[in-house]
Amino acid sequence: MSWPAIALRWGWEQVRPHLDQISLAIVVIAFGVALAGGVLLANGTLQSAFQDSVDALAGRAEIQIGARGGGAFEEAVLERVRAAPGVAFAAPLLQGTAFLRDAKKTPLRILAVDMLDDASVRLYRATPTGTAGIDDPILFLSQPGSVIVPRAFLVRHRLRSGDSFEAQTAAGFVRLTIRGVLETDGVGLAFAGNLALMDLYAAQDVLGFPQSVTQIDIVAREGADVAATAQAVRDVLPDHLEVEEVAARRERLASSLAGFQLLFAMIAASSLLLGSLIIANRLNTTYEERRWEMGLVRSLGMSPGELIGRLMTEALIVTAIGVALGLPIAIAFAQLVVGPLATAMTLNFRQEVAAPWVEPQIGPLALAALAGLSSGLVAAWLPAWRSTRSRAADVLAKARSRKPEPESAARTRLRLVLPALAAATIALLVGIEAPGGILGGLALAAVGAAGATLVQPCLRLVSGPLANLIGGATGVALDDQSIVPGRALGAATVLMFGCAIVVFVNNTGRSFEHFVVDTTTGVRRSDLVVDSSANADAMGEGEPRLSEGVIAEVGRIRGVDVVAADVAASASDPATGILAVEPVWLRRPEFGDWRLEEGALPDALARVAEGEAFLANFPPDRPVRVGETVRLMTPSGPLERPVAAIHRASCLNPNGDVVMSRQLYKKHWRDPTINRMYVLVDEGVPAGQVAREIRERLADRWGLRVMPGEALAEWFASSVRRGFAIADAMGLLALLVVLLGTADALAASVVERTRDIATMRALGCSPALLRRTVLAQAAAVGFVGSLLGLMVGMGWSVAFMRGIVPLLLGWNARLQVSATVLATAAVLGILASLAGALYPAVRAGRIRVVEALRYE
Amino acid sequence: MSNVIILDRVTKKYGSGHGATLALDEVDLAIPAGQFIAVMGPSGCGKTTLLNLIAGLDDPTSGHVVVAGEDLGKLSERARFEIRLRHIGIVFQSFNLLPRVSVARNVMWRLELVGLRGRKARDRTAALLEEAGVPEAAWDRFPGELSGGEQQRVGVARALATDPRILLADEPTGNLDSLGAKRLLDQLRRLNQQRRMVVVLVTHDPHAGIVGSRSIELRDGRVIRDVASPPREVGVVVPFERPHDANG
Ligand SMILES: Nc1ncnc2c1ncn2[C@@H]1O[C@H](COP(=O)(O)OP(=O)(O)OP(=O)(O)O)[C@@H](O)[C@H]1O
Ligand SMILES: [Mg+2]
Repeated sequence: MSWPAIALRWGWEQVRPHLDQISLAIVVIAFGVALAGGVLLANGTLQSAFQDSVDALAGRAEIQIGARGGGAFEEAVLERVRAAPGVAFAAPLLQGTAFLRDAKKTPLRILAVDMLDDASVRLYRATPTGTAGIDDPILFLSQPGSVIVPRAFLVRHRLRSGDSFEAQTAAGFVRLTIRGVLETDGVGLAFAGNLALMDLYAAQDVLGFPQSVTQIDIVAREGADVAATAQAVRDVLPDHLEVEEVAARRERLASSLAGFQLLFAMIAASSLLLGSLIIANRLNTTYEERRWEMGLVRSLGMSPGELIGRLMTEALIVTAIGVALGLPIAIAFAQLVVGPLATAMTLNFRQEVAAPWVEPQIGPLALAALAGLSSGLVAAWLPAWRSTRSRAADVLAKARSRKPEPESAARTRLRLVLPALAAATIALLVGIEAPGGILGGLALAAVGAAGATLVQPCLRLVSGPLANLIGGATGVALDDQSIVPGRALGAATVLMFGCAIVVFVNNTGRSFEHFVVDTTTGVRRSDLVVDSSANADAMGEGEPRLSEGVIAEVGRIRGVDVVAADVAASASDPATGILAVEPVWLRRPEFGDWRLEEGALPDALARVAEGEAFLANFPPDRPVRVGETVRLMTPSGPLERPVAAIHRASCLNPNGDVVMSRQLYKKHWRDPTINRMYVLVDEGVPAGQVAREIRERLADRWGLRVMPGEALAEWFASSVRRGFAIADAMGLLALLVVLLGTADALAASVVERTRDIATMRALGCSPALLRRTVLAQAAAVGFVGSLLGLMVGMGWSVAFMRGIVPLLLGWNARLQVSATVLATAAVLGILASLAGALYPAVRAGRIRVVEALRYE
Repeated sequence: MSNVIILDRVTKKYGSGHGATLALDEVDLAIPAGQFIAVMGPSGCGKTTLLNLIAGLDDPTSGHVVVAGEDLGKLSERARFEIRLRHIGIVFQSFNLLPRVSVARNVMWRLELVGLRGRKARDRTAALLEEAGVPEAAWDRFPGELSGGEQQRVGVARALATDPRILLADEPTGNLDSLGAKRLLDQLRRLNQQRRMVVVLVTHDPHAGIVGSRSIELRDGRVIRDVASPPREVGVVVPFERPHDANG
C-alpha cells in the first residue's frame, strides 16, 4: 500500500468509532462558519455596494459643489465656477429618484448630465460621443424620455436597447426609452445598477426642477493645487453652497457610515465569536472525551509529538470538511439577511442602498473559514496538549474522578453584588427626572453581568422542584447538571442572551414606533390621506414625492373641503429637520393638535402660516425660547425667523425640528414637491365616495395612493417596523444559535456521562425515564435562560430608553412593552431548548449498557 | 419453586459467521434462594456475559433465563427494568458511582425510583450507608474523595437499596487491596446469610472462591465444574471495626 493510502486508512480507523461524534462536530462547524461568514459577507456586500455608488458617482471629479443640507440649487452659478482660477472643467449634475412600476416599486436613481458638454463627457465617459454606445445621438437628444442604463439593469428587468418602460416621478408617470447601454464599469456600478442617465435639460423637466442642479463636479487644471482650487471656487460662491474635495467627502461619508458600520461590526464580531465558540466547544468535547484513550496510547509508547500530530491532522480534516460545507450556507444566509439590512441602511442614511445580490467575496469568507479552522484546531489541541503534558498515569486516573470544584467566596459575593447593582441602577434610571448617559451605560453593563452570574444559582433553584414534578430519579441527573453545569450553564447563558437581545430589540423598536406614530399622527388628523403610490418603505425625506400641482387638482374634486400638504426636508449648520406644511393646515384646528408648550405667542400658528415665524422642537442641548430667532442654512442661503412657539408634534431630526409654511420652504429650498396630502371632506359627504372619485380621476395620471385617515398611523408604524427589520434577522439568528447551543451542550453532557447513564440503566432506570431526564434538563435550561433573558432584555430596554436615547436623540420616548412578544420569546426559547434536547434525549435512551460498561 | 435464577440451555454468541465468539455454550444452571455462588474461570470464559444475561442487560442467542419466576425473554422492556430495580442489585468492579453527586444521593436515587421520598428516603439511605460501613463523615462528600474500599461500600449500599433478592457482583474486589477485599467478601457473606439473598460473585481470586456455598467454573463458555463447598471462614479473618457491628 502506498503511503497516502496507509495514512488514510489509519485516519479512518481512528475516526470510525467516533463517527457520530465527528459528524455532529462537522454539522456544528458548518453552522458556526455559516453564521460568522454570513454576517461578515452581508456586511461586506453592503459596504462595497455603498462604496461603489459613492465612488462611481464621483467619477474622476476632484471637487464637488452641493447645497448645504442637500437639495437643488441654481444652475446659474456654473459660469462663476468655470471662471474660477485652477478649474479645468466643471460639470453640472442633477440627481433625482423615480420609481419603477413593478411590484417592489424599485427606486431608479436618475442622474442627469449635460450631454453636449465636453467636461461631462470626460468626467463620466457616458455621453453620446463617449463610450456609452448610444445608437443615435441626435435622436437621443431630441426625444425627451431618452435614457442610458447599465447593462445590469437590462438583465434584471429583461429589457433591451430600444425598449421603453414607465417610471413614476413627482409629476406622475413618464415613459422612458432606452437609447444607450452602459457597460458595467464607472458610473454603471452605482446603485446596484438601478440607474438611468439622462440629459440634464430633459431631466429638469421630468423631475420638476427647472434650471436647477444638485451637484457640480470639478476637475482641477493640470498641476493646480486641489485645495487651492477648492478655496478659489468657495470664494466665488454664496455661503449656502458647499465646496468639498472629493477625498474629504469620501471620508465624511465613510464616517457618517461609521455608526452603522460599528453596529454591523459588532454583530459580525459577535457572530464570529459565537461561531468560534460553538466550534471550539464541540471539538473540545469530542476530544476531551478521548483523553483517557490518549493517556492509554501514550502509556503504550506513542510519543507526545506524534500523538498531537495525529490528533491535529484529524481535527484539521474534520474542521476543513465542516468549513467547506459551511461556506455555501454562509452565502445563502448572507442573501437572507442582506435585504433587511439594506432597508435599515436606506432608512438610516436617506441614501438608497439597493439590496445587492450577494457575491462570494474572498475576504469575509476567508475570515470565517480561518476563524472556524483556528478555533477548531485550538479546541482539539488543548486536550491533546494537556494529556501529553501530564503523566500518562495521571491522565488515566483523572478521567475517572470527576469531582466538582467548590465555588470560591469571591464568586458567591459577585452573585449578590451584581444583581443588587443592576437593580439599583435601574431603579435610579426610572426614578430620576433626567438620568445621564453614564448611568444608562452602567445599567446596561450591570444588567448583562448580573444575568450571567445568576444563571447557575437559578439552574440549581429550578432543578429541585422540576425533579419533583417529573419524579423518579430525575433529581440525580438534574443535581448532577446544576452542580457541575459546564454544559448546561453554557446553554442557558446562550439562551439568556439570545432571548435578551430579542426582547431588547423588540422593545426598543416598539417604543420608537409608538413614539413616532404618536408624535406624527397627533397633528395629521384628516378624512383621507393621499400620497404617491410608489411609497413602499421609506418615510420622511426618502419618500417618493409629488409635484405640488396635484394639490389644486385634488382640491377640485367634488366633496373636498380642504387639502393640506406637507414635505419633510432638512437644513444644515446645525442639521435641523424641516417640516413644511400648507398654511391652511395651521389655520384649521381639525387637522389636530400641535402640542404647543406653555408660553406660546397667542397667534403663533397664524404667524407661522404667514411665513413670519417658526415652530421649534429642539432637544435639551439646543435650548431655544419663544421670541428668539433661529437661523437655518437653506439651499438658497440663510433663513431667519423668530420662534412663535415650542411644539412637540414632530420627530424628524434628533438635532431638532422646525415647522414652517410650505410657501416659505418652496422658495428657499427651490422645491415644489410634497410628501403627502391630507384631505378634509365636506360636511355630510362620505369619505369613501371622495376617495373613489380621486382614484378614478387622478390616481392613474399622478400615481396616487388614497387611504382613509385612520390608516395613516398603521402606515407610519409599518415604515418604522421596516426600519427595524434587522430585528427579525437578529431574532432568527438568536433562535438558531439557541437551538444549536442547547442541542450541542446537552448532547455533550449526555456523551460525557455515557458511563453514568449506563450505570443508572443497569441499576433499574428505564430509557423512558432517562429521556425524560434529559428533556427535564433542557426544560430547566430553557426556563432559566428564557426567564433571565426576559429580565435582562427588560433591564436593557429601560437602561437604553431612559439613559441612552434621550442623550443620543433627545427624545423622551416611553418604553412600550408587548406581553405577547415577551411570552412568545420565552415560549420559543423553551421550545428551542427542548427541540435541541430531542436528539440528546434519544441518544441517552439508546446508550448500549453492556458496551458502555464493558470498557472499564 | 425455590430456584431464584434458572438458566436453561443458554447460548450467547457475539457476532456471526467466521469471526463469531461463542461466549456461553448451552449453559444450564439453577440457583436456589439463599445460595452464595462463586463463578470462576480464566479471562474470556464468559463470566461477565453470564451476569449480563441474568441481569437482563443482554439477550441470550438461544435458551431461557428465568429470574424470580419470570422468563426474561418474554418480558417487555419496562417489566425488565422493574425486575432489575426491585429484585437485582449490581456491584461493579470499578464502582461506577455517579461522580458529581454526593455519596448519599448516589444511594438515594434508587430509593426514589421505587417511590420513597423525603424523610423516609433519607432515613433509609442513612441506614443503608451505616450498614455498609460507610463512615458518616463521608456521606455528604463526593465519591472521588473516598478510598476505593469506601467507594465499593457505597456501591454495595446502592445495590441493596431496594432490598433485592439477588446480588450480582462482577469482580467487586478487583480494584481493592487484600484487606479491603476481605472485608467486602465478609460483608457479602453476611448479607447472604442474614437476608437469604442470592449472591453471584464473579472472581479470579481462588481465596474469594471458597467464600461461597457453591462454586462453578467456566471454560470456553461451558460449566466444567460445579461443586458445593461447605461454608467456611475466609482464611484470614479481619475483625470489623464498624460501630454497629458490636451490637449487631
Ligand atoms: N460485545 C461483545 N462483542 C464481541 N465479543 C464479545 C463481546 N462481549 C464479550 N465478548 C467475547 O465473549 C467472550 C466472553 O466475554 P466475557 O466478558 O463474558 O468474559 P469474562 O469471563 O468476563 O472475562 P474477564 O475475566 O476477562 O472479565 C470473550 O471471548 C469476549 O471476547
Ligand atoms: Mg468479565
